[in-house]
Amino acid sequence: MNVTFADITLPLWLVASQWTLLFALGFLVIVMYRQLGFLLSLRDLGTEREGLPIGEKAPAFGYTPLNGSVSPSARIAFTPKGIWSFLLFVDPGCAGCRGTLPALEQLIPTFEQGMRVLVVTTAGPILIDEINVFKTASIDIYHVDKDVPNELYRTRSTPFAYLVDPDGIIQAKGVATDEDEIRKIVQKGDRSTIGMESITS
Amino acid sequence: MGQLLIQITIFLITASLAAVLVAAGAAKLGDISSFATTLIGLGVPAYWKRVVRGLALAVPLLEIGLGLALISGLWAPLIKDAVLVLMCGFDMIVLIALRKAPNVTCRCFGSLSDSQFSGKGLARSLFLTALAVVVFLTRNNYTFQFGGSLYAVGLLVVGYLVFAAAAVQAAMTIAVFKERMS
Repeated sequence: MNVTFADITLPLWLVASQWTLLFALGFLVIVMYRQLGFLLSLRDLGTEREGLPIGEKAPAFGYTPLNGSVSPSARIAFTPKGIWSFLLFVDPGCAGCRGTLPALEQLIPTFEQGMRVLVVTTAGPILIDEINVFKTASIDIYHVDKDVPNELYRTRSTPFAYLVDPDGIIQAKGVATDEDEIRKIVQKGDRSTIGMESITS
Repeated sequence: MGQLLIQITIFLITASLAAVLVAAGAAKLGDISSFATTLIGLGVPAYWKRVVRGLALAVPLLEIGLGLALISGLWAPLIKDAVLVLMCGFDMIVLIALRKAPNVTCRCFGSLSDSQFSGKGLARSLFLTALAVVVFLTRNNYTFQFGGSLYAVGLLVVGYLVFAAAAVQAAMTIAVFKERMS
């Protein structure tokens, strides 16, 4: 079976394949721009739309330790009340998260003593051991069920952080890939309460 | 007329399936380390580094190879059987992942997709398998024919290779973007 355009005759299979290839290329370009747009919007504008809104109560959840000194079988409850909490969602498969942990390690000594830092992931211990930055992290990393980022905190992307005040209210949130971004999130809270003078200098 | 429409549909399905295979394989090649992480998450022992690396390379190469063979019309019945087996294999992997490792990122299309294994991903995989079944069932009636036009086949394969290169580049660009944002 042949197809004729003007005075050119081509086999049908060739025409079908070429048009499919053309559409596939177009689709690829769309997918790429979509991904790039998503990355940029998440970094700049999209942060406001991502996750729970500021001013909302941070939900409580349970977590289990993946590394550190606490027994892996222990199930701990995160009740976001009483002290300031910096809650960070990470994933070993996310390239952006690999810079977050070293940055957080640098910044933690500058946080106020009573501030709770909680780094959580939905990944299991095998994946944690595979990624060097996670394996060697001095920060305790905890496992949470998939529902915690997806349903409770509505966080699609990692690394994403929340700053929760002693009343359990979200004061700040955002993508936290490096020291500057972590600082910005922490500074959005009430600085007189969490004592961020050393960070801002 | 009906026969012609069926023929066009079968050709379009075959070419689309080839494009999906080539895009998926090429995008995985563009971000092999992330795909290796997915394999570990699916249960391949992390300490078998060579096996992980080998699989992370072999799966995308197999996808690209089958995609190009499908579009070229070479060994048509055999290749169509292989494509169906591969698609069924992917369905099984998605099903197992949904039951045992739902938190693992799929990376079915390298860094072009970051979604985790989900019902939506399973539906997509089943849809592609359905397309492979159609191609399989019609493997003896409708196949790409050379008809002495080797240049045309060669150009078409080159076109799909360019598409593969574009997919690799797109995946690498997205991966670099993600890295730079860290």
